[in-house]
Amino acid sequence: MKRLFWLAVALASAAAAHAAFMLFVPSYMFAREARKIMAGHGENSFFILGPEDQARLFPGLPRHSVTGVCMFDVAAGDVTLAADLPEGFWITTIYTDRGDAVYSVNSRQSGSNVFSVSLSLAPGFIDMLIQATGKARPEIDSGWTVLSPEPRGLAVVWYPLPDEALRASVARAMMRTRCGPNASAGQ
Amino acid sequence: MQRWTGGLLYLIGGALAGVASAYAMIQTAGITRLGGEGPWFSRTAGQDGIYAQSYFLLAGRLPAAPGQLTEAMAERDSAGQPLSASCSYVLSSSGALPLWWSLSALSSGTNPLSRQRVVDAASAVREADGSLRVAAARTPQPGNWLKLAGGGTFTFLYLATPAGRTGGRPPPLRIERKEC
Repeated sequence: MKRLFWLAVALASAAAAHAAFMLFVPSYMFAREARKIMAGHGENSFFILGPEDQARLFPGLPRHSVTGVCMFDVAAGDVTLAADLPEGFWITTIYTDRGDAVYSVNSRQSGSNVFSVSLSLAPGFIDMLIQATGKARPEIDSGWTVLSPEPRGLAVVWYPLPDEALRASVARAMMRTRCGPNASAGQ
Repeated sequence: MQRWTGGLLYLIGGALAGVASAYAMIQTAGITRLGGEGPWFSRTAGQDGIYAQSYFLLAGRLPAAPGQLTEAMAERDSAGQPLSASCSYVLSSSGALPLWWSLSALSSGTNPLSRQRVVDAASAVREADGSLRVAAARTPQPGNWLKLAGGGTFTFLYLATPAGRTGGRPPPLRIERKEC
């Protein structure tokens, strides 16, 4: 009987350790890597990754392609990614900090190189209950709205290039893209 | 006292087993073999689970954009032998390649990603008949060359667009071992 009790304790300990590892370790390891890459740029700002950082984050992408990122935090309010990209093929993807891709669009699907994505924190269970009882929903502005289940994440714009010589000029053009707190936040 | 020591051992043993099982599931869950017998497999084709995502996060990277890029990996050659950086390999196309694709060799060991090299649709040189031949070796090779670093195992990583989320089709590339 005593042995059965301790076996149950070991099983509960294994389940708790398994769940804790899954919940915290992978996202911690990624956040640590992301912090290194984002050092000096801060949150809610768009910048172009250097070839080394791009190789670390997306090892399969050619070094002469251009990758712009914005590490967003929607805990304090909505964030807008206002993309202004050069003509050509590109892919924009929004990831949560748990690696979940919540939104992805390419140039053909978008139909325009100038667009905005409004990022908001998805309502939790309690919030959904409150909204269901008649509370007004937040106003959604023009452009696309993405509800992120996590407060933090990465917006990634990838632009493949046929020639490394084009990298500097395309990177310069991509820097017209803005990422920052929504102007209407808090209204 | 002895009873509590024994209990503590059960607790610690359970915790270690929990961590080991999580790590093992991250390494094995979400793997889809592409095209049956071939060496190519995918962690992004048809995956959505926390274990499959954790594989990428543990490596400090992100999965390819779902529905936009197909990601396939190979850890063995077409004969089923593990890939070793002390050998040289030739990858040759066995069918039509998509509009955009890239192929890289990710080596294990210290700081592998900074040494990775990529051959892609834009930079690859085609053979006279339009087929593709890529040599992967530690020393320079004529034509398309993927530099292998270190002497341990390595992985071929293939990305392609356009593709559906479910992926399913293996990269049309045969992997042949040449010299060791």
